[in-house]
Amino acid sequence: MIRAIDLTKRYEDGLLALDTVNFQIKPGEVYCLLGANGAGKTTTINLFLNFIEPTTGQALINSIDCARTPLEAKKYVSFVSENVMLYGNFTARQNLDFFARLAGRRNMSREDYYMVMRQVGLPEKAFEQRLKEFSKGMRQKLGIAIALVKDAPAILLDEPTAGLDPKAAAEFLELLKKLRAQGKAVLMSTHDIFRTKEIADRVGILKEGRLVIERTRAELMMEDLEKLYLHYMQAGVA
Amino acid sequence: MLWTIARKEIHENLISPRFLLLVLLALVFIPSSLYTNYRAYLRRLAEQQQIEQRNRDYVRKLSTAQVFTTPNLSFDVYWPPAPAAVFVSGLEEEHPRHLLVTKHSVEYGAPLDVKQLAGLFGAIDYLFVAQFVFSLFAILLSFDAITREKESGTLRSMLANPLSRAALATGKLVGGYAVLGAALVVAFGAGMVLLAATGMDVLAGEFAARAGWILAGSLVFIAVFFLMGLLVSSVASTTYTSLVVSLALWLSAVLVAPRAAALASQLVKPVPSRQTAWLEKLAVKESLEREKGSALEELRRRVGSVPHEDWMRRRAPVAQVYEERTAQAVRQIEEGWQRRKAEQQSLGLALARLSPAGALVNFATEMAGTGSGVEERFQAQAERYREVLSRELFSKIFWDSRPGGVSMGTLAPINPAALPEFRLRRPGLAESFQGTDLAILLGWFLVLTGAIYRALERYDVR
Repeated sequence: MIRAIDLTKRYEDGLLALDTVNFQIKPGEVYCLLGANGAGKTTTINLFLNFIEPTTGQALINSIDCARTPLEAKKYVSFVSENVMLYGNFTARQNLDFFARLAGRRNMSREDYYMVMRQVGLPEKAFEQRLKEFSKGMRQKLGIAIALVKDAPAILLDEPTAGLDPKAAAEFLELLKKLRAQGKAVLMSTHDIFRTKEIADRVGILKEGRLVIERTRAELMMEDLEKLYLHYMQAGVA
Repeated sequence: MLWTIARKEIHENLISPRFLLLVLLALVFIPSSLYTNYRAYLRRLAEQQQIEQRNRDYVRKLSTAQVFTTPNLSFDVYWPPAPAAVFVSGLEEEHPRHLLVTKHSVEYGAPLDVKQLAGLFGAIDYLFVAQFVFSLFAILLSFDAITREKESGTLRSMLANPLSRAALATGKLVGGYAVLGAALVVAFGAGMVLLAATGMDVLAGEFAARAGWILAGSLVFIAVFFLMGLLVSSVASTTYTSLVVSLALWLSAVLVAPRAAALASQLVKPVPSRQTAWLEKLAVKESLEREKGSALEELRRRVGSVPHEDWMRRRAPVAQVYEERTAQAVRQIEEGWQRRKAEQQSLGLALARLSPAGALVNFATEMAGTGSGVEERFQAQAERYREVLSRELFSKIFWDSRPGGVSMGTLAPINPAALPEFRLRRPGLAESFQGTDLAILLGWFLVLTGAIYRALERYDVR
């Protein structure tokens, strides 16, 4: 569903942000991309969203090349960023309606939106509340609601638990599990080793633009992810 | 997609304080200025009709003796106020409404009105509201339309969907402009209703068509400024930068460029004042009149005492030479001055019309009948009237200077009461239509739209 083939990005200033990265995420799989700041996690997500074009290689969503036919590829992907960026002057339902329409879902009723917001755990009184009164956790939930409404098979999450309090982060992971159960392929970039262990089916560690290691959930049962992460962060890139 | 963005823009603008302030200003200024200008139009029309009637009575009662005993005989002609001046005052109060048709030339008459405070501070009319208020609000509604989304991150959220950047730009343009244009149309409509309610026949003649074109021109004009703000917003990375650059552009395009064009034309093509030209003509006329008087005295001395008919026959060829020289010299001065003035005006207008504000002002004032072309047409028609009067009257009387007095009389029978009246022909709608100005505005529209698409396509969403 989500696939990177020799994905490479070198910026105009010569910086090699991503170097021949390969991975594949199947439906119903959560893939966590770990790495320090500047390792290339956000660059990877930007390439899948066609915010930037790859220097070489391919970013594929549902086998569609994101650089060649970005509008077609974006039909199959939802995106939730660290700070879910929505319209503060609009209510939760109005934001949901706007992004649902952008995603091509035009026939949804007010009740449909309420149902999705209930699903992600937003309180009823927040449905018609303006976003500027929302906490970060509530915004994240609305971000997931937008992803649910779009019903795209692939979901990209950029540091989604950063800055969330433990309760909100735990609720977020529960939502993610539901998405996985629905068969969504999820790519999540994060620094959060603790939650990665809890949710990831596979983990990739990025260092200076290179995917230095990949482990499955089963493999991680026998290894300490934190030690592994620190080991690769301290080691030089081969 | 496009309509989703447009709907969101409409929604956002409708709840913004900026838009509410614009609507309030438009609803206050447009109807009130139309009403005030309509009252001024009615007053000018009544005054003019009274003056014209007095003038007609004067001509009708003019005796033959009065005609040839009045050395500087002149006929007054008037340019009546234009009904569409209720929208656009233009040069209505600036250009002469009153000309004096004399034997050799057409001179400016005294102004019919005294300018009040409006002359000092500038009058408010519909064009003022469209040109300054709406263009400023057009910029203020669009300068942060994209930078706000960049700064808040919603642009990333939107572009993570199957939304093309062209659809994004078009949606922003359509949605933002829809509320701006609607505010103008509603306020304009309210003004028209007020005009009709206060007695103006808004459907009479070409009034409604002219109003429609003025509205159409200003709608394109404000679209240009909306696009200008949108373009800056597409290129700038922060709202603050966008605001500063947009305001600087507004200032240049609305206030500076048209005035700079006028200044440049005055520097490149200087023209002496009307008064200087008039004094020059007067000096030539007086000089040639003296020469004619001397030549006729010389002739009188040579022929001695002869019967009147014989003297008139002998006088004619000598007098004719001077009459023709005077007419030619006066015409040369007048034509030279007119040509230089036209060249200066043409250069100034050509430069000013390159700016959207200059193009709108020229388009709207010509459509309203209060533009720079009005004076030109008035002069030309008064000149043709002078030719008629010359044929019917001036060529039949003589007025010779003599040492210690004048000799005057008629060369053929005259009937002042039967003189034709000045018939003013107003330019029709087609003549008033300045397609070039509209094309310039549309050109700005297209160039800015293309630049916005290009800027957004190249925008790095990171």
